[in-house]
Amino acid sequence: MPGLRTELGVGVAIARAELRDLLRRNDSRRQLATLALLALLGVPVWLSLVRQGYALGVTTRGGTSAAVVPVVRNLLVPGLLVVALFGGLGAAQSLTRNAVRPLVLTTASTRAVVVGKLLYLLSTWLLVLTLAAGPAFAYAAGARAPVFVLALLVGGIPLLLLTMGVGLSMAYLLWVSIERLGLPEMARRLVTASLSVVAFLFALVLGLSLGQTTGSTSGLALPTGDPVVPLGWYADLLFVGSPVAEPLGPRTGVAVLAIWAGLPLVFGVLVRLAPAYWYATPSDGNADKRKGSGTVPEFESTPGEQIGRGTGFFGRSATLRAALGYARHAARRPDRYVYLFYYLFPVAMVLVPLGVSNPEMIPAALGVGLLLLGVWFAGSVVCLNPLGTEGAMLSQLVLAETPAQTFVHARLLVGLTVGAVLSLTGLGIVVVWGVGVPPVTVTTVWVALLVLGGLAAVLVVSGTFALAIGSVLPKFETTEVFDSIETLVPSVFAALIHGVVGLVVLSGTAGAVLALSPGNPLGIPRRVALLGAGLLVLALVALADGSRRYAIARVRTYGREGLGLGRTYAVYAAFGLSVLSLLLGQSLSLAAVALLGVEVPVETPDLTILFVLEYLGAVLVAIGFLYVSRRGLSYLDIRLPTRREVGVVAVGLLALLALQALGSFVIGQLDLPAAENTLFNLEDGDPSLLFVLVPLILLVNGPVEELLYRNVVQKYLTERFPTHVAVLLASVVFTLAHIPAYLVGGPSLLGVVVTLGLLFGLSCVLGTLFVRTRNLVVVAAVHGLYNATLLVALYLTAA
Amino acid sequence: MGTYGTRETDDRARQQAAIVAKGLTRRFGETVAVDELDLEVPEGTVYGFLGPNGAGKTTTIEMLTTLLPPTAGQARVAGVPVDNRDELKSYIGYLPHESPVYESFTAREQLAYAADIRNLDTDTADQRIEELLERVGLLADAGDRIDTYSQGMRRKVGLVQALLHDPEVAFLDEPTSGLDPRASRAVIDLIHEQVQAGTTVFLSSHILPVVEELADTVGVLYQGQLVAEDSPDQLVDRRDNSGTLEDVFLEVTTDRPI
Repeated sequence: MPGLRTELGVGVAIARAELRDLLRRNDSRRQLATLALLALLGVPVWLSLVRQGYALGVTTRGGTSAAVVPVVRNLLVPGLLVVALFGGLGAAQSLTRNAVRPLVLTTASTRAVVVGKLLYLLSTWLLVLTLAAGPAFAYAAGARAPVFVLALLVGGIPLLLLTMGVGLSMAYLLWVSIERLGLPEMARRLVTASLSVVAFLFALVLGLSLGQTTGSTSGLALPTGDPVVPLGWYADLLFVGSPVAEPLGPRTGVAVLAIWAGLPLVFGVLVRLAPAYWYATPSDGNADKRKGSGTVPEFESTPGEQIGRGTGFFGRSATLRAALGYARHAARRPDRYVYLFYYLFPVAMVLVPLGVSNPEMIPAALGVGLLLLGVWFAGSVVCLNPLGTEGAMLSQLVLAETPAQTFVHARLLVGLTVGAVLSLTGLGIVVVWGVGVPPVTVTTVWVALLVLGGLAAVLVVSGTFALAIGSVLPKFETTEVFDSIETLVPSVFAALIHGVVGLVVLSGTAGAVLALSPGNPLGIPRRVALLGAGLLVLALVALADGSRRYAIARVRTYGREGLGLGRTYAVYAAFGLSVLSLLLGQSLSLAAVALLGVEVPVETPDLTILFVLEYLGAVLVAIGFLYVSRRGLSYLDIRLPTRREVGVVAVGLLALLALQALGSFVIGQLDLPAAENTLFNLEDGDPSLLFVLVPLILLVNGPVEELLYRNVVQKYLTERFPTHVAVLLASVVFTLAHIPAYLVGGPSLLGVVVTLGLLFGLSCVLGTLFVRTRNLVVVAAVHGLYNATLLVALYLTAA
Repeated sequence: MGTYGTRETDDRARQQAAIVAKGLTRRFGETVAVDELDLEVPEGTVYGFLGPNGAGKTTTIEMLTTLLPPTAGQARVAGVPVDNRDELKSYIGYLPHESPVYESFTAREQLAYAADIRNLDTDTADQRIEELLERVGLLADAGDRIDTYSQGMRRKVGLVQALLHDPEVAFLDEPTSGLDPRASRAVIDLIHEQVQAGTTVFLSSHILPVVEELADTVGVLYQGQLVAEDSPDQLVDRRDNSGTLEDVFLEVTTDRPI
């Protein structure tokens, strides 16, 4: 037997290789860009948590009476058990689906493989753990408690290792026992697949009842008494050095000893259990022996042929035939859709506590849960991985004479049918048992139509968006779901993004439906409600139709460079870029607000940072787009202006100012209202601000807006449209993107429209200048100088 | 142990056959994949393992490489019982029908990884990797990612990986599949050399000329049972000296009575 040192080295090698493989498998441009975008949007949330942690630390600096420790004592063991069970169930199978399984198992010693697995698991948790540790360490910094950080590390790391070991052991044990029961194939699959769901519900109910028995009896109060499981006293160690720390007693000592002594014990158990599990798991080589457990998803023939042509109702349309093919495929191999069980977790998380706390809410909760599931399933059943689930058939679809849209529409049809059945059932439950069936009047019919229309819109968006995000992040390799069923699961990131978007669209539409309902339950002015609903409808149509077109193009051009998307899509994409840049800019400046705790009125240094960060969003979107679409940075037209172009700058500036003057004159003559950009309200009499704002406008505002709207959006549109149409379209996008800047402060609607009209004209001039000069520097200079002149003029007239 | 060149010190494995199986059986539910198989492969020889698809060849190899526990029967490889996995590992090299490689690695990274987890001495291993890469003609492409490789190149990486530590017994499942004639020749020569140096090779293949050239003994598995076993010449001779190994294969693997 090689020494422990050698085995540790081999374990590290195994973990390193697996991690490297994991990182390299996820390094496509699209995936990286999507992940970066997600990370940037999530940063503000995390930073605000860190800040809150710090603030909490500051307030408890002088000591506190908050009874955190008893709560953690009680929740530590059950909480970690849940983490262990889920971590373990998820991790136990990571070796069985490993590409190099035969190599590792016939090469390294069992102990080394177990060490490697543990290290790999630990490293995949590292990101989550670091994120979780951020607020805790910020708290320690706020409370000036350096010892607390040390205590967290010393106490937390063994706890983490033990949790992982216990989780893996439990998972191995469960799996091996199920395998040894000798159940028929289908029963074995069902048992293992339902295991996680059962464990989850059990843990949820256990946690809730624990909270009720040990704490006060009112609802979901936190437990305060002595921990039910004595190991919970370990919690005291984690708080050493913090303001809430309590003196360490002998009971904590015993718990610490037990947990630290448990580490080698659990490791020993793992080394004994792991080979039993590896033996019990069939490898690829035996796939042919287990009838009906083929691992590669494939069609027996093309959907069209499989169904038989020209028979009955479904024979008349290729789309319907293909849809029937997908439906039949799903019905014949229901085990391939086991991953849908995962959607029950978030729904149950909300519904079970509701049901436990108030039994009268059960029908309504059930109905809403079904409705939400329906919305999600409209996308997740057959739409969330349109390229990957075709598998080897994809090349046949591409070469088939049937157009690509047939297959995409067929998937959409199946998804919408499933989603509609589920969500309408949910809606029915809510109406019949929740609110009661109302009498038929004009009002109730109107509300019913609104609700049904809204639901239909949400379902369509869910299905089409799933098709698009699934085409961006396709997944071709199979995964083991719930440790038992090898199937083609959509990409986790695609599923998460789709889930969140579905939720946002559902709540947005629900809000619009409520705002338009009689009696105005939300108390929103009718004018605003109508405007908001109109914008929402526009956005949903663009999202749904754009997604659909994108998915079709991805199937049609599979395996070739360039998507060859049509004109309509280019317009959607242009709008999408501008919305993304606004979102990202907001997210970044919110992150800064969270981090710096900016106060109103804004101080000059903070203003500079916020200003730059808001525009950074547009820069990131522009460069990200060029990167993902492989246009590259050479797409940008940046040159030093020639002498003639310097003259163009001067002429352009004069033209803009003349247009502005003309616009103001007309507005004044017709006595029209005008809206003011929020940026121009900042110079309330303080001339020193000018010295900050003018350079910012010249160096940031002008160049960045021109970079995105002229050099990227307009130039991209020029690829599809005649030049003058591209200039007009880019100007529409540019103008609409400025709506948020004019809406603050509640100006009149007419004022906004008039000002936007002027803005549109100015944008057209800039667009034309860009077409003529093909130099970003020229339009950036004109734009910056114009805005700066306007600002200075405004200040001078105010002074 | 584990490193090559120390074999002389290990006499235990020398004194007996490299692979011994007695009554080796594996069932999957109702199906009997391997049915009371008896095998004895002398040290330093090549055993050609033939059989139609689904005959139980892979199952047999997985049992001999400890990846699958037998339902009944016993087997020893290099003198070590197959249920003693940790002891057996350093004696065997295994090339499954799909090369077990990380697609995202380059050939060099993959082989260095294999050397790492076998705990081979780094310098010796690197030297051996370069040597073997050159032998199979992969040296020029060894810095490219495996997912850019052709089927044949993947086979080569898998083969080098299985022979890297100069194992006592190498289990090679279709080592020449997907290889062009020249590459195939290089691989056959490499296997031949490895056998000369003392390695026992358990070779499963459908490419009968390769088996005919390399194998000292050929065993034909059919429906989990060994239906013929002899030297290639003897097998052909038994059919009145008229024909090839292919004729023998076709004859012994049909349900018709002979």
